[in-house]
Amino acid sequence: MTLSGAALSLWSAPLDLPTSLLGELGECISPEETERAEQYRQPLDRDRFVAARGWLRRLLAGQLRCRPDEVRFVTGDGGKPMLVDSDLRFNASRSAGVALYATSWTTNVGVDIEQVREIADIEGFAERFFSPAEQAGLAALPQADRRAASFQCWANKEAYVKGLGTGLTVSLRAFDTWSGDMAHSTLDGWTIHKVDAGFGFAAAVAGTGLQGSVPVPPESLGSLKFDPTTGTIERLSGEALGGSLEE
Amino acid sequence: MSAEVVTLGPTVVALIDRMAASSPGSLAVRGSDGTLTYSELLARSERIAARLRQLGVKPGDLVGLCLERSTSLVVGALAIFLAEGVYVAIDPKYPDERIRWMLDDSNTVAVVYDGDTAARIGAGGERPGVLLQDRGTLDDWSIPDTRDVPRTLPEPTDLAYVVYTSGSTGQPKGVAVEHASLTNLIEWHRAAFALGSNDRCTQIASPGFDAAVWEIWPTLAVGASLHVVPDELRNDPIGLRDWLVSEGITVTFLPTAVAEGIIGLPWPHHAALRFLLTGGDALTRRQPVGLGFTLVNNYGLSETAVVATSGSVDPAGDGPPTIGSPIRGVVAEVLDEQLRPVERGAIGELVIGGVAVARGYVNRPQLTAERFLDGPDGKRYRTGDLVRLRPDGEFDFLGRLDDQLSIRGFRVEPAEIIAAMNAHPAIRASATLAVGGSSADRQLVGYLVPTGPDRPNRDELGVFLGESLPEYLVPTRYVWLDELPLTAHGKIDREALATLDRDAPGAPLDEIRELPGDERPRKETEAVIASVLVELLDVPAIGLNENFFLLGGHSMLGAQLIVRLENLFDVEITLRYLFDHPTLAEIAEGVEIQMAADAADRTRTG
Repeated sequence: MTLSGAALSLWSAPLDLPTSLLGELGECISPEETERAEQYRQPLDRDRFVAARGWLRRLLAGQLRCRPDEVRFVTGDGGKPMLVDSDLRFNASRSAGVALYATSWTTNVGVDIEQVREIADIEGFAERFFSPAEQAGLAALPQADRRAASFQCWANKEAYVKGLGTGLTVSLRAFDTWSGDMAHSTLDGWTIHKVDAGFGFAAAVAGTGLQGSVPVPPESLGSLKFDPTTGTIERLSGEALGGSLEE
Repeated sequence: MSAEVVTLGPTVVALIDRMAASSPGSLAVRGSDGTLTYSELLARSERIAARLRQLGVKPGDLVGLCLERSTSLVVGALAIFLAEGVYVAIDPKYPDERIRWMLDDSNTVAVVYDGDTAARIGAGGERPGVLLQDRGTLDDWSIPDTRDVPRTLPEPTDLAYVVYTSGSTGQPKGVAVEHASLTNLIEWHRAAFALGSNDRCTQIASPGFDAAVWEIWPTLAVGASLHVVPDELRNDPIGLRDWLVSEGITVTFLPTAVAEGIIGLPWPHHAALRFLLTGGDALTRRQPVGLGFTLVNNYGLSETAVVATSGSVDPAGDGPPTIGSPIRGVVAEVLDEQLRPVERGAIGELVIGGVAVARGYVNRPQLTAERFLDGPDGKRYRTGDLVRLRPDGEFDFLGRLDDQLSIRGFRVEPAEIIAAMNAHPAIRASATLAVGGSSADRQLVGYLVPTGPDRPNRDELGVFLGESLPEYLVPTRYVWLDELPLTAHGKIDREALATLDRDAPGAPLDEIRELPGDERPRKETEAVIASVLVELLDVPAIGLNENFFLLGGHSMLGAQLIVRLENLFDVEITLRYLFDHPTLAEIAEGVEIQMAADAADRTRTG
């Protein structure tokens, strides 16, 4: 996906995979990540963690023109993962069997994806975590739309907080992303867009300097070819990806 | 999509009336209890309708219909229509409590039943009963004067019947369907299958299953004959095939599991069968090339008056058969979670509009408001099923939205696993079940019917299935069966399957996770928080030092945890605290520190 006005790309990836592909992704991750994976109690959660880290490394390796296991991360002050020695910014999120990633050479980015599920007491949830304007915006919607819209609101707020990278020092209730509809907000120079991550999921991306941008659906990593030795990514048509992206 | 304008003809009552007048001697119903011509059918129904009127049944009243599949059932149903009532279809095989509950829940004012049911649920009492014997005759000598039965016919907007559906969660609910929807179904069926008075059709569906509505009324509306399938043949594919051939059946409906069993058998060329209609479960296989009849797959719900989409199955096609395209009078949309149309060809929830949509649920206004949406073109029903529109205009059925099968917290669609298993040459038919305690501990078991003597072992099957399924969808255990057990409705009997597995030697089901002593909650706060976590994370137990996030927690679940704990303990907890202190022991400690601080504040300000 390219948002005009600044270069930002969106990617999605499936996390529930046939054994062979999961094995390949497992080989892309670091020993620390492998160890962390073993700490998950459920095999399903472990496998999804491995897949998510594997796809992320492949994606970044393709942009950086290196091998997936050569990608090095560092944690910023607010706990946000970042790349060592690179201008490439990124953010990742996953829910159930889907991961969502954003990359940009020019702007800080945040993404969030949530599987839409039943929540007991969704009004209580909104009261605790959403601003008064957001709560009013939700209450004005028809009942049948409210659950999906609440999840979208959460994804919008999370994407923004993750974009800022200051960690959870900011109270969710204290800032307002409501600009008239849940699909698009602006806040303090940041633009937040709803992302189409497939049926049953709410997702959002946040970035700075994106005024006037138009979102398009994420590119699916599952449909791309990865070269394990060089790390380059190609579309199945043979077109290469990575390097600096066009506006 | 705007609703197609549909002209509705006369209601089914008017049509049957016409048949009885024009060809009184032609066969209407044949069951193991005997036969009835059209004039006999109508005469008996009129008498019962008169009795119902005597008992105080007024137009629009709901009347229970609790009879086994038989000529009496048809007589009783028609009688209730003639009395301008609405019949509530109840299967006498249900437990007594359930029958009584359904009669009460739908506010029936009377019930039409037979001697056995009367003995079980009490004859008369607060609710008058009309007892039928021997092909729909009344159980007493006083024959009501039928000249007093008014011949006003139902309006299209009047209710026709109520059928109960349980869906995947809890309480059954009664779906109320209007005559307009029924008439539409009849007219579609007549045109789609070129149904005429020489046709011979079957009745196999259980009385409480709305497929029975589809079998009975279109048949009688065109003057064809209805043949009740003997009980013992419902689980006997060879016997059933032979009976269909010897009875000269031309159009039959068979529930999916029964149809799948029978299409693989050899069929004689002289068989009169033109159409085999099926539906009720996802159809996972196609018929062999060269059968003398057309297999038609149908999709619908009680809430959409039985059939919403239909399509003939091409024996030479790839993959699972589609569910066809919308029938006349049905508008089908594919919508996202915010009820907006998805891109053409994308996956979404199937929402049905048009004259086929039922009026709603009996006695459940809130649920009705949630599932039946108002729209500019009338009501639409959210099916809860995922579909995708193909370029050829037919729909691929992709499974249910809600958790019917849940493994370790993730929704699993059985059809995908079954299709993968059926692709193995040694497997003729299969089913799958998630067994075990909570979603976190559940395991997938594959139930397999072999094609021949070959029985691949667990590892071989694992490798084969692992090529097309993610690891967590590959069953961990397999049980080989001669046949798949079926329910009275002809659907796969999941409870019977679950019992089979419990008997399997060495099958470790229902393992309860025991926490070691030093991991168990030590005090009340810890115990309370543990129980909230167990519910939110859907795990059987949680130890003091286990990390919320390593157990499958994520930030939104953490947010829900916070809302619950704040309400329970009247404190404030931040998401930040949870991220920095993610174990049960730390969370409890944080809560206790807050409670102590609050208490101290109160004493100070006292």
